[in-house]
Amino acid sequence: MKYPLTLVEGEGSVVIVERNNYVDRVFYEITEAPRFFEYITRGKKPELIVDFVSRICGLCGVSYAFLAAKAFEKCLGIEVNSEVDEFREILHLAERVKSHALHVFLMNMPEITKTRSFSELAERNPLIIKNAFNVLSYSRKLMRVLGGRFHNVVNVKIGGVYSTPSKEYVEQLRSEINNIFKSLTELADVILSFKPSIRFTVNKPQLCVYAEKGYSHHGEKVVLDSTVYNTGAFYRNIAKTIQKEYSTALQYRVNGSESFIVGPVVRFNRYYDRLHSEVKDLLNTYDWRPPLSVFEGYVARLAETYDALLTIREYLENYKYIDIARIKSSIPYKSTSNICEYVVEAPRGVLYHRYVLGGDGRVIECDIVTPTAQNLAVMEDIATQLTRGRRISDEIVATAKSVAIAFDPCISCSVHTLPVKVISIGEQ
Amino acid sequence: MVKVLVAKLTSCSGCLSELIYALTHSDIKANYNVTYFTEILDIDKISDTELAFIEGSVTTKHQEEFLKNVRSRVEFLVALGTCALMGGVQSLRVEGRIEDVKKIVYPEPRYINVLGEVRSVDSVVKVDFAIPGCPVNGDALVSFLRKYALGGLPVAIYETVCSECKRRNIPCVVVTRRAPCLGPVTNSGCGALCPQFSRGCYGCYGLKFFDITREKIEALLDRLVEFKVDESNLRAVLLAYSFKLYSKLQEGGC
Repeated sequence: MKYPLTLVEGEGSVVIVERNNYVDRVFYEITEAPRFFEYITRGKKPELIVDFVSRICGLCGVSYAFLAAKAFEKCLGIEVNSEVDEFREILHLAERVKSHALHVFLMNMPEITKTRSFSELAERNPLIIKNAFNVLSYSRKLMRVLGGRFHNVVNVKIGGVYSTPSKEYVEQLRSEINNIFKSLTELADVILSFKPSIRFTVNKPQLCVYAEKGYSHHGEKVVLDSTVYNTGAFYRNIAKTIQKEYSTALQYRVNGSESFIVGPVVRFNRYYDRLHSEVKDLLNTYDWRPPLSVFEGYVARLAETYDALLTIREYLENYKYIDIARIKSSIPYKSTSNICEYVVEAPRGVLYHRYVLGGDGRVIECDIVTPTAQNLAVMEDIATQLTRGRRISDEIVATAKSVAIAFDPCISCSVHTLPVKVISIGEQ
Repeated sequence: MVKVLVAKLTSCSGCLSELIYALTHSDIKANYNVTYFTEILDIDKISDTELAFIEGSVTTKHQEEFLKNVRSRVEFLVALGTCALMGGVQSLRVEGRIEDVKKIVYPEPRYINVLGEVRSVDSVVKVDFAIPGCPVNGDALVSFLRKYALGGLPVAIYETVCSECKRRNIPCVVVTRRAPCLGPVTNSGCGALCPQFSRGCYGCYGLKFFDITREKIEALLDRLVEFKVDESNLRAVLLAYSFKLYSKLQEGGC
């Protein structure tokens, strides 16, 4: 049986494999057409890749562009001015706010309040919609001032950025941010009061970008539970791509067997202590603390939104205009390796890119591992664990859909997820 | 209330997110009733609707059938963004044979059912209105929705990005920075975003189809390569954001 999947970004279906009316297994069929970015990038010069890969995802394009820039800077030996690097980090945090706000308000909230859409919820409580739109509008302003536009920003390049905003624009953003905290904390009153209907402890390995200090953001190492790996080693030797008997979806499993989780819940559980104290105080008010389960992702997203906005406020308050024209990209390309790889915590979890450059400096090989692709295996495992052996019902379908929404899959970035073939296992 | 259907084909959801932004305006919310928009609405069946927005290009047989079905059930269909109008960045994959492309990306290419070509929405069904951009400009969507609710449509303006720079007093980045810029051949609508950020336009609103010829593009490229820019990069972005038009121009069409 197939049920279209709504309230997720992109196109997909829940596929329930049944045996005599009882659930045998659950799959998530990705009907989103593949876009072949790993082919498209071949033969291209690195400077072209940054803008191209931002088109993989309309919601988290900065993560793709930022990651590609970082990967090429590392392997080409390009040092980025520290103030410019910080500016890019802030732009990336602005995207985290945007993406979390869109998903918590538009996708999670209807699901956790059992309404069919955000509009229906808004009719019941107009104050929620007012506050949610305040936060969303502010994230839009942030993205436009720092990156040029809400999606597919134009201000990330290898070596830094093209331009930084004038103090006047930044002052405008700074003057509005305290009202946004007011809206956000009022929303928190609604969101953090919810408790998920599914009470289920998931005991699966958790993966995020390793942070020596600060909150998980970007780097060259990942941490799986408590083991730290170099990124390349993890994605080449530990996380194996496999295909299951009933599924043709590319999945990533530790050593080819165990599924693992990426995303805001993982970052929150590992680096909770490093959140701003204001964020922890707010969470304590509603009795939230780690570990969160995957069904409590909206708590992690709200916490990260608040935390990112606090970091952004500190940046805006201390902003010094950087005249990019005076910062020469004085360091010439000095290739240190022909393998360019890096990891960034995209809003939905660890995003990994690996590019191999040929002798002429063009990309000859590309591998992009998205958060959603990494979560597919664990989504299926959890949905199956929750429903296996139970009689098919509306509740079972709703549970399977809830698992998907809890993981906040962004199917648009399905650069190499495969459509699933449904195999009937017949009567017994 | 105008009933609206929003559907996504092969794309990144960026234009849909701009549409969500447009729909958050209170006067627009008051005039439109969204009946299908699976990203934000828990309804999975399409119904007869007055207005439809389509994001993305057509790359599977299923999408082709779905799009024809949508067309038969709506009165006014709007193609939203570069993918819908031109094919989008994913069009670059048609440089290779689809079977070869599949093998490079997937271990089991036989499971991938996609068309060999990447088709714009208007090559499959009749399009009543087109809004360019990668992504579309959310403010242009707000304007469209306000005017449509009043019974009108935005006036089509055939200008290049250069006109937007002039109106905004942005110094020409080609002249002042020797930055390679596709502004002279690219549709307006973005507000000269890239030049505002001190970089050349890379053509994401698509080639201005109205009066751009192959000769004009070649003349521009001849000048831009003088800035030591890689010509293959320029041709790649022209294909990426203007695939339908640029590939025809290259073949000597239009």
